[in-house]
Amino acid sequence: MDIRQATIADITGMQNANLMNLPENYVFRYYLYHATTWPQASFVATDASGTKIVGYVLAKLEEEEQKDGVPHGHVTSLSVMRTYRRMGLAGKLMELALRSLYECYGAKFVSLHVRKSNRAALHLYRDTLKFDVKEISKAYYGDGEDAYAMQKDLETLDDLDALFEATSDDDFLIEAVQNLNLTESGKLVTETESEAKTETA
Amino acid sequence: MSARQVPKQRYLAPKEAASFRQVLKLYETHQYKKALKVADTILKKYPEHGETLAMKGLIMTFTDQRAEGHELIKLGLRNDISSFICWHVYGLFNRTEKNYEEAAKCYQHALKYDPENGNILRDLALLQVQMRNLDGFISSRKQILSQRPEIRQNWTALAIGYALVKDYALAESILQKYEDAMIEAAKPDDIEHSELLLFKNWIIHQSGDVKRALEDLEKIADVVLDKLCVLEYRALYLLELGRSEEAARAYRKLINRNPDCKAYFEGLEKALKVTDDVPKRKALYAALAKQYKRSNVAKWNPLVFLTGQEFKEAVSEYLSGFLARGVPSAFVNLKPLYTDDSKVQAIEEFALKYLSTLTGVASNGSSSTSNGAKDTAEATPTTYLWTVFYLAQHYSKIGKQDVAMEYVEKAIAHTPTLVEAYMVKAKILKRSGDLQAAADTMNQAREIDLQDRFVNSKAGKYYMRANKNDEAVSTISLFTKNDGAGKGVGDLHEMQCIWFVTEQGEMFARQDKIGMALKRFHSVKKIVDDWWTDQFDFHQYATRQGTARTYIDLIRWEDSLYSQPFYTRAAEDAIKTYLSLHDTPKSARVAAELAGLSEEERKRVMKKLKRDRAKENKKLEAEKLSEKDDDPLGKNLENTTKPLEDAMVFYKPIKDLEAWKWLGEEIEKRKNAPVEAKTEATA
Ligand SMILES: CC(C)(COP(=O)(O)OP(=O)(O)OC[C@H]1O[C@@H](n2cnc3c(N)ncnc32)[C@H](O)[C@@H]1OP(=O)(O)O)[C@@H](O)C(=O)NCCC(=O)NCCS
Repeated sequence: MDIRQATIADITGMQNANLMNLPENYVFRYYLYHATTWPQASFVATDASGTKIVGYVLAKLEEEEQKDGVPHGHVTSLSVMRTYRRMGLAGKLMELALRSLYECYGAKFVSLHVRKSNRAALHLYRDTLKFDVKEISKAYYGDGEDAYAMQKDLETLDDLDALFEATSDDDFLIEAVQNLNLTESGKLVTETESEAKTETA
Repeated sequence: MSARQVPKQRYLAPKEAASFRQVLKLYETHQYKKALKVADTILKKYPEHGETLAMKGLIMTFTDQRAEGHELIKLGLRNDISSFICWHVYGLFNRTEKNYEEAAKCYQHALKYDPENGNILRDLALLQVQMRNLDGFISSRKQILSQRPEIRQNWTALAIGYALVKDYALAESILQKYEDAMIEAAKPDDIEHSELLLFKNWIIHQSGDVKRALEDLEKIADVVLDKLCVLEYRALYLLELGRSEEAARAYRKLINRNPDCKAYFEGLEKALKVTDDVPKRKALYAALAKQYKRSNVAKWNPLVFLTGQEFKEAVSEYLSGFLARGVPSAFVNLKPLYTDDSKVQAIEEFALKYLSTLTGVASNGSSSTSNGAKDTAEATPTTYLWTVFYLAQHYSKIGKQDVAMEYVEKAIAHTPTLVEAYMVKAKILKRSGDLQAAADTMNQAREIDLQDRFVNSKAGKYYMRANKNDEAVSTISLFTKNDGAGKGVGDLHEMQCIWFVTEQGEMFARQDKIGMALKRFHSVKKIVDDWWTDQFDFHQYATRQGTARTYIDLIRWEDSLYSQPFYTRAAEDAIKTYLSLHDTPKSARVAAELAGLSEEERKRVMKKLKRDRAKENKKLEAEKLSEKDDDPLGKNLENTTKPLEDAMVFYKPIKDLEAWKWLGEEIEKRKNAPVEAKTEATA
């Protein structure tokens, strides 16, 4: 598994995943428009071969200028192949896309729509990613279902690079490699200790 | 324009000349109806006027009168063969016909009569890059630039041209010249400017001068908005320059942003020079996995390079993590390791042992300690479920379908509503060769979660594998719009759903519905052809947006379009079908079916065949792809008299690919064979 920025070569795979997973579909040209207008905004997850797209987020900067002129992003589409779900891919893809929208395009917030009945997506947006429900869009979808219009403020995103500069101590890592078994605290890792390491769920 | 004498056939009185200018303006602003009216007033007085005729024809092609429009355009050109307008119009017409070669010729003629015309030059350049006449493209863009150097896009476009032919020195100097001359400072949040700075930086790096690329990068780093790209470029350049410690730090910064990107880990390994040293590599990943708890890559990568006991320990930890958390995707993650028998063995041993401790829990009601605290520490009732679920996929993968079936039944017995379990069961049945049962089981999975399109798509696919077209189509149509002709099939064509169209074509081929099969394979080709054409509008668009690197990616990707599996698979299907049409014409196929039967039996069989066909055809008729589809059964394709030529249409785009040479040879062989000799069928 691999998560990275989407490239042109990923488009047909994104389109395929979209057609497998969601009823709202787009032709190749539309993806191409996204890619050549906001090349930084979309991300993909691939299988181990690195070529098969198993999840994607297609995001953009909203084109209609807001009345108040505040630039904001929009998530056009997000989905993960069922066999790869529930391992955190969607959440990670979204986080990367939001950061790009904020950094590259100055988006102050991001908006999206989700079907009222889509429990998984609702949990992801509201609970994991902390989006707010702005309103209910009546009969938003082709089949008549209502949508939640959701939003998230991006100005509160952490400056990851600055945090990294401030807190990250690289020496431990280099030492770990050079002396093989040092832990963060500089202690030697014994066999039993490394075995006893437990997973955090 | 120039002070050249206006030739007699082109002359218009001042009033009409003004009207003509009005026509041009109306055309540009898409006011076609009005434009036509004005054109007609000119033609009343000058019925032979070539340029007016051509313009009127062009506008008609936009108002649903293509054929008549085409005639007028030709007539106009004939009446005024030295008019650049007439040639330009004819070029535009050819372009909309996708006849790029002809269009380019027309533009070149037009330029003969008006060498400085910027619009025509620009249109010519678009065609040249579409046809990959890159030298022509560069020379047109040079001319455009010399005419309008104040426009940034003109510099970008020429630099792109040089980059496409890998002349990076020239590409850079063009961008540099623009920067030097740039009067207005870029706005601080100008993404276009930011993109162009990165484009130039990319060019420097491509030229091989990594050191200078890094220097340039540091200079622009503060202005560039794409922080991620700066970090990625910096890490790469540092690594290439051998500045390992800084490179390591740069990659760590990237991992900190995205701890699931393989390329970053690869970079870090290289920077720390641990790639060929397993103990060091292991220590590195142990440290990273600890720091980035959510990272899958940090835990997964060691599974590839560790072996023996170390692998066993690592995979136990990895797998038990998934099983305890109840994540259904454990198997797809470990699947890539199944090329290594000893790893498969180790995984199996662990999973079985793990299961035995769990069943211990289940039967004793208390946690068993015989296998160590670790294995049972997080065991819950669902852990049992996910473990048997894993084992089912494991045994199916290694070809033991019976054992796999036992495990999946256990999973289903434990949780009869688990969609995933039925999906796996369906796959096991498919691998055992029972395609009908596989389809029914996948449909069971679908019925448990009617909202999920993924399982719906799978059910559709499994029905097609079992040759059940009706069921497949009605299933997939549950998620399509269905407001046009042909239920979901039409929609899926429109949405360029290649997997579906290909599967359906292959199903028809298996069922000997040759016409339908060919029709679907042609649809796939049409989709891919459209993907080729789609790039056209982006030649100009991407240049305007400044997204030059993405655009160059696009051009290179399009160049490999037809070598990709989504095309080659359908092409192979189509060619094989045409070869069999050539080898065994329809009459021979019917004859073969009737061979050895008595006269009476023959009649009966023929009658039944006809009746079945008619019934079937009626049903398939209902599957028109659109209202305009006048051959829903593909009869015209099936009744071809030149199957080998038709096969060539599919072969042409892949003729230079080593992997597909054999298909070409099969076609050639038959072309050269004497007509009466029957060649062995290949498919
Ligand atoms: C919605 C979807 C993209 C989630 O993908 P995913 O990779 O499985 O999501 P993640 O693993 O990142 O899960 C994110 C969160 O949602 C939760 N979640 C995921 N699937 C869930 C489900 N079926 N029910 C309840 N919660 C669920 C996860 O537990 C996780 O929560 P946590 O952070 O509290 O642990 C995926 O289910 C999907 O592709 N569905 C079909 C297409 C779709 O609906 N797209 C969204 C359209 S708006």
